[in-house]
Amino acid sequence: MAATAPTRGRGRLAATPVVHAGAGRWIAYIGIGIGVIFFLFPVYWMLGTAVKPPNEWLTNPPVFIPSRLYFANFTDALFFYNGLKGLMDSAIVAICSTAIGMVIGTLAAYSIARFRTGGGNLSFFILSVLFMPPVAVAIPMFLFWSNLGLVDTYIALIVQYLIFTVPFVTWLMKGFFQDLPVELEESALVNGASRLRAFWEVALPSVRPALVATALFALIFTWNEFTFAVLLSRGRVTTLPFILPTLMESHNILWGDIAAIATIGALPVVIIAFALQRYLVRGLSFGAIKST
Amino acid sequence: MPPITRRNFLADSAKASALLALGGSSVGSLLSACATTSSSSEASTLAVEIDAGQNANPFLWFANAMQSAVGVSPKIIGLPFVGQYEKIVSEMITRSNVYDVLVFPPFFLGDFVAKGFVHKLTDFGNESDFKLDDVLPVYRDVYLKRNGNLYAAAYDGDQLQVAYRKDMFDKAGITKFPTTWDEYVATAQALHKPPTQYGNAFYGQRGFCYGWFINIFAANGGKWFTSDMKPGIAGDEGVKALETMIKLKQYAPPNILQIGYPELNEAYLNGSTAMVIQWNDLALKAEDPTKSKSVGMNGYAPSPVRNYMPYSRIAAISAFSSNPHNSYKMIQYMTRTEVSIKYVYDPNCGEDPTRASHFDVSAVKDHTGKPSMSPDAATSYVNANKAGLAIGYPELSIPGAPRYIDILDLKVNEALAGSSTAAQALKSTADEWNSITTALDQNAQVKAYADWVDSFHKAGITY
Amino acid sequence: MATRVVGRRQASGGGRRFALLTVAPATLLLVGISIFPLLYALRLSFMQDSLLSVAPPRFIGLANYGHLFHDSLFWTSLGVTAVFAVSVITVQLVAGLVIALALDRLPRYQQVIATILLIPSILSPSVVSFQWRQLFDYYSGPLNYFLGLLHLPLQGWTASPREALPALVLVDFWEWTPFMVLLIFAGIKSLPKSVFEAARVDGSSSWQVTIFQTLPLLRRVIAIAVILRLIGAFKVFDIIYSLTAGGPGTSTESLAFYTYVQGFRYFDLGYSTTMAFVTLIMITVLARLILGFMERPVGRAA
Repeated sequence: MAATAPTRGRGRLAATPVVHAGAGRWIAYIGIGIGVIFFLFPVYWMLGTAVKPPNEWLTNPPVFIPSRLYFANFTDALFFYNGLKGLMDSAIVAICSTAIGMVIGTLAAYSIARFRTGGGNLSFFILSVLFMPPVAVAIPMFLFWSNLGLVDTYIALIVQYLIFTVPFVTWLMKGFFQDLPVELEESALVNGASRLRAFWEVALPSVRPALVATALFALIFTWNEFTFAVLLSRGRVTTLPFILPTLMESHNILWGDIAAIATIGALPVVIIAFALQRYLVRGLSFGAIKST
Repeated sequence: MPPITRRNFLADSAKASALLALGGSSVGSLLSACATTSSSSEASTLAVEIDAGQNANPFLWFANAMQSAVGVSPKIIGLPFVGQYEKIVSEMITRSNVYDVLVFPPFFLGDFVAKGFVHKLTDFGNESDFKLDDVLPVYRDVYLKRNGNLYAAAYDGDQLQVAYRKDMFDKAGITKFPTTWDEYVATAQALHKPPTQYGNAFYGQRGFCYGWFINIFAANGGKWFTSDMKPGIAGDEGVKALETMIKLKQYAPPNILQIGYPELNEAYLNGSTAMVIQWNDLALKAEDPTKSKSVGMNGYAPSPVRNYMPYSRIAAISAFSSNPHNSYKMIQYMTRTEVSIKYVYDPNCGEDPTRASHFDVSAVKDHTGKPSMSPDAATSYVNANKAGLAIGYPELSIPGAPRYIDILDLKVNEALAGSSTAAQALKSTADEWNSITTALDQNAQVKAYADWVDSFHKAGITY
Repeated sequence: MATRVVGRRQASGGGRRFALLTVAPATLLLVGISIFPLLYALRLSFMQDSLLSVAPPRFIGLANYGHLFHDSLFWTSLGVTAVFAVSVITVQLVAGLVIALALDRLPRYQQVIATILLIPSILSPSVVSFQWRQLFDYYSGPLNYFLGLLHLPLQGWTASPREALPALVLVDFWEWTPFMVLLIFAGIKSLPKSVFEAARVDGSSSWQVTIFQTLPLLRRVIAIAVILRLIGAFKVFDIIYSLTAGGPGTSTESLAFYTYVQGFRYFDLGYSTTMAFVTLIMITVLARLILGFMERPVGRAA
């Protein structure tokens, strides 16, 4: 881990400070313990409901441990309620939108960080796109896609989500590039490399953990987005957040099936987060703070 | 339970449709033969817009039978219940042909007709195809027609209904079912023994709580508007009704403000509440031993004095459909007497009787022909439905209805939550209603309302 | 600051074309998919345009903006949003700091625990609302079950006009504190180790180190976290839509929810976009203030 860090010229990452042994540490243990229980209990409840038979969904007292594992909720969710299709559509939309957003956003971030392109205004404009309430642009966007005949297509959702991913990626990556000492790129330029090569072969590899962490958050957002998923679907492109509320039907709520589909929807992102966990903290710590 | 039926339902519907195909094929082939000339260029698979979930089931159960009878089959586009209105309107204002058949509640119909979102059914066939003399007048004249034209066919006939626990009444020594709202409040009070037994429950969440208010408002003799569109809501009938509702809150479960449709079902089905007013399909669930703790102990009755008819579902042809003739055939098929009678008593969908011929105790069966409840319960249920419609009070369905209703709902909820008095809440409702009327054009609204009230008289409704 | 100066010098030294080419796609795209609809929406805010009215749209100048002042529901929703935003940002910031500092004291498994804690922020907001709807259930929810075990009075949670907004704050706290923890923890990890060592030579206690040395250095990361949560709090919609629908009464009617009702339930596009613009302006001003605070020189720690 520390091997790629020296480029930052700020000594190694981190370091747990030497702490007074005893009380302080125990308080930390207990605090973290309570935190983990608090933040995981609702997740446990979702997993539990997903494998509960229907007569245990709503009982008094509530059922903490299902009497038997009832996997029919999962087969229902996947095959009857189109969970499988939702999974695929979510994956297509989220991966494409994240990938495109990363390319466009990282380029812009580099330009702004290194050349102060557009001064502070361009940078703030890009950030301010994030401030926009989705309802403000929902109807105009619907009319726009409708006129192009692209409602209910992957393209519409992918491009629509760039409205979030591009500013988000640009804003975060800008900070990381600003913290990256410029000397390495300069020496590459002196040695005859082009701008593009200096960017591609020197700057990018140095911010790799930050790229991974940023991409992960962009992916999570696009995977979970709800407003436009509903607005721009007509039943052909149905991401998971679209499918979920259709199960909260008017006449009874299918708790087990919803929990199953929610679990299925959460799994891929949680797995990716765990697989990339070593980049998460490092990636975000890379440019988050400037010591001067 | 739904999961069981869900899993078996493909098999069930195959069986059912095979049976139906045998019975219905002669009529069906005749019809499709007649219609082929006009619709040969149209697609036979039609996009059906409907709220997702159990209300789409009848279309699926009868898909094969419909295909063999009239040569069309449905592709369901299920919309989230709460987002249905905004989704349909968004598509319609862009004139998109994505939906062929629209299934929606009549309180959308005023807007949809005014904005030209739906075809007249009679553009594609004759009124007589729908055997309208069998459709209950209150649905037929008020919910399906505008200015004398037929725009929709009745798919689901909703009304409120009291479901109560006869055993709990007996235990509390109550022998007479309340016939006035004062008696109803007294009964709820007598039955209220928290925390094991609550006296009554109603829809207290934002969304539809206005319906339970109108139910009492109607009993007090209230009217939506005067003939010149002055709001009728803020008078004595309204204030007293809202105060009654607030009183009933005291004898209700403590989470009453979070009780919506599924929670209200649950409050009754889990045996904790002695008496609830709910949409009439609760009975089908209350008599189903897999869902209910009170099978055989339930009584059903209309609300005191008047009985409100919130929601319901009707089917119409989208004005932008590329397949209007085939859509017509599908709507005609699904609402036929012999088809609809097989789903209006099925506990696995939410549809309720819409035709006089549905009021037949021997028809209280699910779509596979299995009885939905005991003969005694069925008799009591059918009678309560019949009696409820006799004093039925229709839901507002003039242009702007969703907006009038949404404001009313918000204000009623505020009063229930205790942040305003009944009088204040209704006064500010009336103010908002006036500005909606002005925004929508006063004269047009007066005319639309007069036409709507006129339909009451045709249907024989006291108003 | 040093890197920026170098960068600027470089730009004039010939990287200009590269700089413009790389920033162009993002700018063009954002102008295309955000400026176009935004201008369209801005125009709408000067119109009386209700899609369900039979009257054609007409220009009414600033009347929609004027109407805001007399619309009591707008003020109510602004109040709800302000209370919500201040509450969630405060509790999340405090809890985020405490948990991140505690995490930093663990001898091992810091990363794994940070990732485990992150799960709530990874879940879809629709899933989050669904879960809490179950947890809050008066009759069968585990929260009231625990209260019952402790012989405490059962709570209405989202059913109570007084508790509904705090209940939503709790949900948002659960959903977003982990993200805050991760950001702050990453911030701590990027602090130079020397800060702590110097402090120890001074003989400062660990809490003194935290308060007087660490916190000022975390200012930038805190500003980033606060801006992101501010945006989230002003736009809060999903959990309200599925948990309370703005009720009981108007106790949880947020600005975003009210804007949605005007736009999508009433199709009053003019008025709805007016509210959206006012929201946009408020977030922009607040974000500017926070960014200004962040960019100010750090003072003695510099």
